[in-house]
Amino acid sequence: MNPFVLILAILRRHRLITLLFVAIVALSVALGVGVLSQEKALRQGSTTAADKFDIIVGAPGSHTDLLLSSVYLQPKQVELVDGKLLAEIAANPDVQFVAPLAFGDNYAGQPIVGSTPEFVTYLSDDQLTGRVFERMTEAVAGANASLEIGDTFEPSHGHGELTEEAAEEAGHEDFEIEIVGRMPVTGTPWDSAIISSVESVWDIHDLPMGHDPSGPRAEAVGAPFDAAFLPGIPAAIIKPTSFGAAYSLRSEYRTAATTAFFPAEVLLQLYGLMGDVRVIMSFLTLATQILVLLGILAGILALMQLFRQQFFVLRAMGAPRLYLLAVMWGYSAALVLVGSAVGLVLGWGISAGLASWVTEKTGIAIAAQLGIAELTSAAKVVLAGWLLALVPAGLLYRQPILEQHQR
Amino acid sequence: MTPLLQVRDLTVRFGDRASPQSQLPPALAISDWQLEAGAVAAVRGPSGAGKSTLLNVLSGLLPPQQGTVNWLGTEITQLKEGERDRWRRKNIGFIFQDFHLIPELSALENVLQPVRFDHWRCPPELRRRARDLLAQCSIPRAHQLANSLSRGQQQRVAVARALLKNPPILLADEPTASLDRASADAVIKLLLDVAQRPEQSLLVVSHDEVLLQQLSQVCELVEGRLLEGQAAS
Repeated sequence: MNPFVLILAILRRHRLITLLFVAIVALSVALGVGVLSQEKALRQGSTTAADKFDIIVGAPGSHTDLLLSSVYLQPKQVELVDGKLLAEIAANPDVQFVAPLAFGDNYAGQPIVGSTPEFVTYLSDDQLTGRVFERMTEAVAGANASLEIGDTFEPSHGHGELTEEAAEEAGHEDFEIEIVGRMPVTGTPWDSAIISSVESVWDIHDLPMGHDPSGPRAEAVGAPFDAAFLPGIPAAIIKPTSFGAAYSLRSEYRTAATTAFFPAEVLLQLYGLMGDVRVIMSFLTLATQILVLLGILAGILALMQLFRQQFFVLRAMGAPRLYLLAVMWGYSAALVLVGSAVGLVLGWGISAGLASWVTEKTGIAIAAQLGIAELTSAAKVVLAGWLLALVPAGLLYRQPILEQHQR
Repeated sequence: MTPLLQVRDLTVRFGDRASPQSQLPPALAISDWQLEAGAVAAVRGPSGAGKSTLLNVLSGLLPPQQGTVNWLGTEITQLKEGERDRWRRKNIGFIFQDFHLIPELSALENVLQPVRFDHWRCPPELRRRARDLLAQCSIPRAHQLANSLSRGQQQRVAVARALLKNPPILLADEPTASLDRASADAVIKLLLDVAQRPEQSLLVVSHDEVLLQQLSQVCELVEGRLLEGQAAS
């Protein structure tokens, strides 16, 4: 028995209806696949972006704001923590290094972050092109920043891109910084940033520069800092010496005056929220898919009326009932299968497009992928569709021959 | 010699299934009818006389409420539905008024359609036979799509399809009714040529006087009752 020739003929005869059915199934599957894929991509991208930020220390307050400002470089109003803490942490034997972060300036809309050469080297896995900054007048550009090695710039106040006039007004005149190195792609918002010495940011804002101005390290950049000359800092990143040390450091700096946390803790809370949204979206998607399949079932039942005469003729030629069942089921199953396959690709495409948009907007490298979850989601639609396809096929199978004949 | 067809005490009623004792007159009531092997016969009658119902009963598509239909010694009224399907596949070639080809398939694929009820791949000898039949039916291009053929050509493809498995019985339901005179004449000639083959029987339901005049036995069906058969002039 070979029903395929007839199935293909029916698909060709009703190509518009076929295309419509396939498109509807594809859209419903794409919705499900897109939601799953996007949520997973966001989760993976944001986790990867926070990989290098072992422990974040700052003033007590919103962990989310601290995370967003330090890891994802989102402009957030965060409290400052006493700078002396920096020297205290640096002296802790569980700490490999601690790097202060200083925000608030930008160049042409690209955030300028003040930190230490040690942190830049760590963040770039020691893969810098050029070299790390060694003076306050030097900086390193992120992989996607608009400045090249050798370019100079004047930082401006604030986070956003300013008009030429406003930039002039907001500019830190007479403070020119040269780019001496470029970081490799990290897949984080830091790719669009310019990282200068934290001392230069402090100096621009007329703050103590972390070193004794009358001492030999008055013009130095990076650790060790002098506790007596440290201004307040919004956040510091701690690199612990070991896994166990990380937990002990987190506890140690969770005090009335400071807070310390792993980025993963906050991300987990955010993922929980995202998961809830995903559950709601998945439920809506499932409802859509059920409606779509039922709609198609109704369409096929209506279409069966058009096939009645043809089926009668086939029976008159001796076709067994099983043959008609196979044709009817095969036709419906083909619609669902092709629709789901198209939906899978479409969903991935939409997710990839969204991922690219999010990457462009946030700097977080997000890659949409088709994994087991997406394939399973599409497979469930196929399975449900194939089961539902038994309804018209079964009805046709049980229908007396002459009821198929339009007398 | 076993007769080709024996019909006895046949009654077919339509109507409310819930009341089988319906007093509606039967759509078909034939007490005794017989055709000899190799017969080339026709049934004619006015619209609503029961001609199509008769063909449906004779082909096993419609089980009668009463009576027997015996083809070449097989009492098809005693067969189960699946058995009737198998019997029909083997013994009956059906030709319809409106051809009922599948428009998106070529002439050759249409002729081969009945093969797909039994086979995944079409046996080469049947494919060869399909091509030969199309040539005999004056269809020059076997791969031409059915919907691009003229109506006369489509009916000739339908005849080739009916003949593919070499069935001993050909049933034709108004085979010329949808055709112009020239096409109808070509189909009549084809059917009569086919009927010349040994062991080949042909039963036609038709209004077409040109066709009826050329058949050896023509029966009249009036209100479901078959009148005495008559020889053609």
